[in-house]
Amino acid sequence: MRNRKPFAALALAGAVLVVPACESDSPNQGTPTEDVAVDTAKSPDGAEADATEPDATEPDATEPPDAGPDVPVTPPKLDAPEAWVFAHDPSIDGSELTKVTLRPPVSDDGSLKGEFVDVSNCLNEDGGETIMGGLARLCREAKTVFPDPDGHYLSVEPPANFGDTGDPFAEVMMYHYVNTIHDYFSGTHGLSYLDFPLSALVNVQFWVSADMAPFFGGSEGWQPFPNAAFMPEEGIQQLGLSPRAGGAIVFGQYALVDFAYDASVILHEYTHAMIGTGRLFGTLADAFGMDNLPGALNEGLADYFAASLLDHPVVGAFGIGGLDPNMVRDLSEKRVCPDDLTTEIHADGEIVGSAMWAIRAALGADTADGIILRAVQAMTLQTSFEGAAQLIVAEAELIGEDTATQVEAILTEYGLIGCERAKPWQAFSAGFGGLPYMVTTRTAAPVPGMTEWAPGYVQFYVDVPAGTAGVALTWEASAQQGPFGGGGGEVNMDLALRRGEPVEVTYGAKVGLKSDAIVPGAKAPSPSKGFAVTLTEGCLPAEGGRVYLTFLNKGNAETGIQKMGLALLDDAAGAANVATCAP
Amino acid sequence: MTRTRLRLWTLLALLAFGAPSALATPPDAPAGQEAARARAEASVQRLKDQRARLRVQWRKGRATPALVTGLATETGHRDARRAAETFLTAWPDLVQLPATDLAHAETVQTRDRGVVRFEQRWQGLPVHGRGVTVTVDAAGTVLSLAGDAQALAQVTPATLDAAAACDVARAAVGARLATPADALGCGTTRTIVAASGDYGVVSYQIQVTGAPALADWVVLVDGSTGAPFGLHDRLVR
Repeated sequence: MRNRKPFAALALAGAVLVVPACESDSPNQGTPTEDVAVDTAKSPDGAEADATEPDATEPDATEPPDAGPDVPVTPPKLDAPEAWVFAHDPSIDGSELTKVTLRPPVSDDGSLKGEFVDVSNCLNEDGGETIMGGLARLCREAKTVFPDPDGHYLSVEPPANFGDTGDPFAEVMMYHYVNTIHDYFSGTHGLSYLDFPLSALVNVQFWVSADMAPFFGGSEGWQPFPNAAFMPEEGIQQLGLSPRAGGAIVFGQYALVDFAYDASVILHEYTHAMIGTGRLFGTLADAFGMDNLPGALNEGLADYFAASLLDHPVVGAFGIGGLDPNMVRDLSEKRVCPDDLTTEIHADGEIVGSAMWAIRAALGADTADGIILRAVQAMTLQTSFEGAAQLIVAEAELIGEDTATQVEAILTEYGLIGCERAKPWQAFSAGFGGLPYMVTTRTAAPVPGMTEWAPGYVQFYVDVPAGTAGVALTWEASAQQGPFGGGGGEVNMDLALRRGEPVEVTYGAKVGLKSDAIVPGAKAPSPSKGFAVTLTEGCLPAEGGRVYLTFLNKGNAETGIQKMGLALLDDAAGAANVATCAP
Repeated sequence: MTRTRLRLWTLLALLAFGAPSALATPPDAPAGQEAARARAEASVQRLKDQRARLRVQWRKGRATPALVTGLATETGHRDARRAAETFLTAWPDLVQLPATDLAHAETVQTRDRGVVRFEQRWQGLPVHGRGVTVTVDAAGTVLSLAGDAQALAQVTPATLDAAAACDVARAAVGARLATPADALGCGTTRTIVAASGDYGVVSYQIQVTGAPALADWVVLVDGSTGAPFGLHDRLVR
């Protein structure tokens, strides 16, 4: 049974919310008030929201919060302890909480260590493990949630100040939703390899020294962590943290965004942990160029199972939306390959997620989840969109011919089947905060022998009418800086072109190309900031037709293409940077 | 040449040139690519004759299929690993690697599926990112084959040692993050074969520690040229 109730107060980044009066049905419930408008920058008592200071009323981590000094209380161990959670997240649920039954913890003191998840809070206090060669340390891990005297956990509610860096409610959210998805994957679908207590850390921030602070763009002290992640087991060890079997999922606290308040983010990261590092992981290289779509599959599947379990197509409304509302992913919005390819794996994951959501709409959640989950088990490091689609269709066939026909039609419609990673070269602008087309570097290429350049993730094409004298291509690009302000450099890219069929990357001791020409990228005439090439003569098909182009990054920095432009010329005289090719 | 003779020749060649410092002789030299593809296609056709719903995905430049789904090949073994091995033995032309070049990596068992992963090896070294995955149902019927393996025609030995490769790896991550390389260290280091098509080079997979971020940077270093590649962060966000 799921009961619902509003909670006391809510402070959200970038919004003013009306919070209805509370129901006083919880042992430690705050005083009910009339409807009140809460300013985003202030907690309900009017104090400035401070992302770096823990709430003064934070419970002592070593002692159950309700244990009085004179009357020791030993709560009963309940088979079905209850707690409040957000059914989705604060932006979808508003001020409403939902009462749920928790899987009983296995800890002696009732803290949130269960058979399948071990949740810790990460407090901004001394005593955390040292990382990054001693220049930084993690917040101190502690259990801050204990049962109420009646054995339930209903006294734990969201803090008035969402900037609280040690609130216990994040632990409850994490404990409940990891158990929920674990029990679904393992109990319903038989993925018993998940039957171990995965470490989960909430409210994660880092203390960085003065030496390290410039890399984080701040000063010495606690630094917010604006993300959530699955950390493989080996990654934890290299950070210098104590080993955790099966890795860990970590959830940051950033200003007023607590990533553990977003159930979809928890389910997304857990799905990453389920997929692991043995499949859909890393970048590939194939005849088309670089291929990061296995990563997009990983992201799209993580979005799908999050959305499916919550029965809501929006992923990250609070966690991601608190950072950038444009990045929230809505699986009910159709995305298609190749039209919607961006080269960013989370965005390209929307193609996968929206296709899976369409399958769910057609077959129902139980059938769709089962088909997709069984197909995931057979995926590998090199599974492509096409391969993933074929595995899903094959699982659908085991249910029935009609089911397979439906699934295949959807996967074809969304472009997972039959997608060529090529897009028309047309007017394009990433815009402010948008996604440029990325071209990675030779050092990121997953194969040896790529010594001169790295090809793009997508190719572009121009359909050239017969009689066209020239094709003027323009683009603006920037070499990406490292995440801490360095690592940028000069843009240094050529264009490879091929008439009639895609440029083909060939593999061997030396990585090569099947192309008709390689055209150097040249600075466009001033005052343009970008690059320009005009293709003429032998570069173009004499009778008209398609020309494929791929960027070749010869520089040392990953490069983002921010703008593209195209003009078909009747007369190429006076055109900029004219390229000629052997016919 | 019959298939049996070809495999015998291959085995002899591997024995003759098998030392890690030598170049391996190809199981299928480039001239044999078409024949290899023809054998794989013949196997696929035989499977299609048994099972009309079979779907096959091929990759450019590969003689063997990347993915075969819609299989329903009974093996007589309920144990997933034995079933997978039985299938691979019965259909060698779908993979075209000697059994010694495929090492069982793991079997992931779920209620109604066993997923058996084999890692491609070259003279005992793992071939980075390559292998074969066979999915078997609870009755021991093979349902799919993912073929991410490819025979190596030439493997260049390493001339660089692991310590020198560590320096390369630190410099590569340092350049990526604009961090002094001497602030970085090397963690787990594995000797592997990195492959590009049918070419391989003995290389190092190095975890770089001490980066100023919550990240897990891994770099591959070509053991012959010392060039870094495959730089990526293993954190999944």
